[in-house]
Amino acid sequence: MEAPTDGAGAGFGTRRDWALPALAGPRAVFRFLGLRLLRAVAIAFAVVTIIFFLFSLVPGDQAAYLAGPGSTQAEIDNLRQSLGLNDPLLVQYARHVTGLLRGDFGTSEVFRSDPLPFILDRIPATLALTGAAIGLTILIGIPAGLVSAMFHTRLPDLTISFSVVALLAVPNFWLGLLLLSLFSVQLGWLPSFGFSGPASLILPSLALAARLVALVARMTRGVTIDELGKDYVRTARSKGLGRTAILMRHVLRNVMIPTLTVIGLQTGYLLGGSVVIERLFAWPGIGDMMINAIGQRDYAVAQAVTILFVVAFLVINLVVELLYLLINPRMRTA
Amino acid sequence: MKAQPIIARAAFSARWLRQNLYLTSGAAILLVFLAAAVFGEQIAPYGANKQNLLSALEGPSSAHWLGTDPLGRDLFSRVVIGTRHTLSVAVMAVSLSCCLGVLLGLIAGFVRGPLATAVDAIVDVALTIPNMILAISIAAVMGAGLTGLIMAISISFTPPIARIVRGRVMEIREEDFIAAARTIGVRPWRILLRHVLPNAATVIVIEASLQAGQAVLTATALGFLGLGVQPPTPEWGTLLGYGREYLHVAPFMVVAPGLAISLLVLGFNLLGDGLRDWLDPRIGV
Repeated sequence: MEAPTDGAGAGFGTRRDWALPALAGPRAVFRFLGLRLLRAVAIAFAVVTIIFFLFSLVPGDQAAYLAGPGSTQAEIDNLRQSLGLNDPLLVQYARHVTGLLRGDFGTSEVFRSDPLPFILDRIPATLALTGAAIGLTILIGIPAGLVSAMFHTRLPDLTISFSVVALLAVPNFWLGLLLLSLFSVQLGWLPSFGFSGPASLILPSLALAARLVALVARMTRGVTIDELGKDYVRTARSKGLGRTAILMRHVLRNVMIPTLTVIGLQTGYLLGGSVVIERLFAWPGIGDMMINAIGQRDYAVAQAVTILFVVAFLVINLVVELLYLLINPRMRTA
Repeated sequence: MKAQPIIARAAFSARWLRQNLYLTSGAAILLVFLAAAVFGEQIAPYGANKQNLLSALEGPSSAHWLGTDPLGRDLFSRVVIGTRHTLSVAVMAVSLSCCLGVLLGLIAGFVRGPLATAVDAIVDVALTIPNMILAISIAAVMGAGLTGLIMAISISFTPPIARIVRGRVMEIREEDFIAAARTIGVRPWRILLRHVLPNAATVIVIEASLQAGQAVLTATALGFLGLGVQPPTPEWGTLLGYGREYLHVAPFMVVAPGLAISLLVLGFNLLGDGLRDWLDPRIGV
């Protein structure tokens, strides 16, 4: 039996561990979720390890850089000692891990303190951006796919399919630049940078969502075309139900599952893309913070944000798995 | 009567072209970019870094088709000559990620034992780090520049390839001809190279082509963030990052590099989809 691939297998292959064991009851559901949670914790630990050793490869003397130009050798040595950079790597690693368990993300050299409050401060902006992008994906992607399927091989379908191919090739930051140029600089309708209310969310979330919208529209189209050819649709037609009613009452439910899969698999894109989009729109989220930190060689912050992104990835995938159970009763009781 | 086979053949090839529209149009787009990458200097009317401060920040005109930047450099020339940088980064990064990914995938899928389990676990964990985040972290550690950029992309693109190859190898491993080869005493490494690898080649080629498009997107995004190839190299992502600062006075600066990126990605995507339709009839679209 092949080991299960899950959300972590982002974008590749199918999710094989959808199905619970046969005749699963609530207890089996809890057991299943408990196991998933344990696995997520183990993966998070492994990622923390990888990220720590990756950042330990940074060339140059970190202490000399942080002490700044014009500092004496004694000052540099002092700083190196106080940062614990003289300890063996494994000791530093152990300190890093035990620190994380206590919620200590190390010391940011730019903030001269624990970076956690500054990071927490910036999380809402990132959540708003990614949340809005997911909202747009569902609001635009699913209807577009449904329309495409209903007008299969006719003009609306061709238009939407063409847009999908185009959107998948366009870099999100260029789309953002074009939107910025048109709607803020030329027309002056929307704010061009920063997080200041719902209007400021429109452009960045559109730029971020574009790729996901295209993927969801394509997936929805394919699934809907398949579903429309099934027996239950014919049955519904023969009892006199209209096309729209069938689509809304029966097909949509089945379409939700692959949509959810796409969103779960593309979480990685969403988080990575948010870094670029936040940079473009000077969005005060953690992605922008990460790039700033890298520019200032503040690796404690860069590392903390990276870990946060991975944890977010794991959490979203757990939520997606939970939603599968909610949406599809077949997965609850096999 | 003699003409008939020729007509039939022509019809066949026209149909083949139509059926493989994605493949042919993708290949056509890539050929144009390949030409630009090889003959960049010959095609471009000006040098990539030829400054002319008297004609700085000019809009598109007959002298400068796409306008000029704040240093008076011709944007069309910069985009054309820049093709080389973006294209070579994508191709080199994907070649590396494919070699490494195929190696890991073959081990994880074919060998049984602790080594395979270990490789599998590492790939599993690496897949949990969002691609772009991993690439940014590696680029940050390696420092901005060509080597860092290629390393960042190739390492972050390796786990998906490894996962796909592993899946395919596990399928092939159960085939009768592998059992037959074993029975007649073919050595494992020979089975791997002569029987498993060729059968996994289709999947690898398709994935490599699709990854190349993603590599272009990642490379230019890193360039845009200032983590990629450094100025004055006319890399497309860097050009966009530069153009962003002049969005208020010269919006035309961001048009051409973005369009070039999109078309190149489109070429790779079409080629990948086309290859999949053509080589792997099991997967319908």
